[in-house]
Amino acid sequence: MSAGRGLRGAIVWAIAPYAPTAPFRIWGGPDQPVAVVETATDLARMALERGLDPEQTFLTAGKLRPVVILQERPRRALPEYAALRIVRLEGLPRAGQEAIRAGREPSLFYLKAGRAKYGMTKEGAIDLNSLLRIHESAIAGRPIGRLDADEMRAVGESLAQHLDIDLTLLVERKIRERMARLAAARRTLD
Amino acid sequence: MIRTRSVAANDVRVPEPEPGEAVRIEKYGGKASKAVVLHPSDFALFERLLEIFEDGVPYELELTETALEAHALAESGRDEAEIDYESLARALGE
Repeated sequence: MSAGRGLRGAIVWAIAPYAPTAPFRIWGGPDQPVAVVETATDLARMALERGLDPEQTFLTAGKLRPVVILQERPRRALPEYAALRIVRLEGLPRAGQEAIRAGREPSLFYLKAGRAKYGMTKEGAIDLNSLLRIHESAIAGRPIGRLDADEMRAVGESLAQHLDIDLTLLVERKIRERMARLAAARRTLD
Repeated sequence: MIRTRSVAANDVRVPEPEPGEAVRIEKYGGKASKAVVLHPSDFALFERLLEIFEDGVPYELELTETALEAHALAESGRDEAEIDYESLARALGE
């Protein structure tokens, strides 16, 4: 994958792991049985009492699937990208599918089927509750589609809300800057 | 949201603010404000910001059943019956 430039807004196929959940399965090597630790607290106790290796290899499920990349990496200084999973609509009840198509589901940004724009033959939706980190080596091939700037703006605004990020001060500063620009433009016209 | 009262333009005389401008109507020789008139586009922005920031309620409380179901399906890979091979082939240039 020649990742690095122009990936913000791109729809790519990538290995998208699920969030590790208990019980946790730990791979100890080819000759060792897979260890099962029931809870994160149990693992912490093991670390405290007996000592653990500096890191463990957790066995966790994942899937090759389309995701939308949220960040640009022009310097390629960071190999990981924030991304959102694209969910297919076909598994949902008909009423839910229709609500998504009509834009009545704020958590699900509708992507119609079609090769031209989004590169998928099945319709889907960006799940705003599925923030992932995708390493560039986990991206397969090249982008199949892309969200435009307006769509990325809408996704970004909605994502900030879904993540409970408080943007009050940022927005306030932007408004003041906008007001100052408008006032300066008006003074120039006068 | 802020409570909004409407009056007909023919019933009042108000200054006409430009976008990005607030006209403060003063009283007591400028020691107090009686009203502030905004351009409609600025008021729309103000209302939108209020809507975003006024409650601070965790967004999870607003998730719909469809959103939860879609997320559960995707988080377990049960949302698709079959992989979209045509799309995948496109990614691989085949």
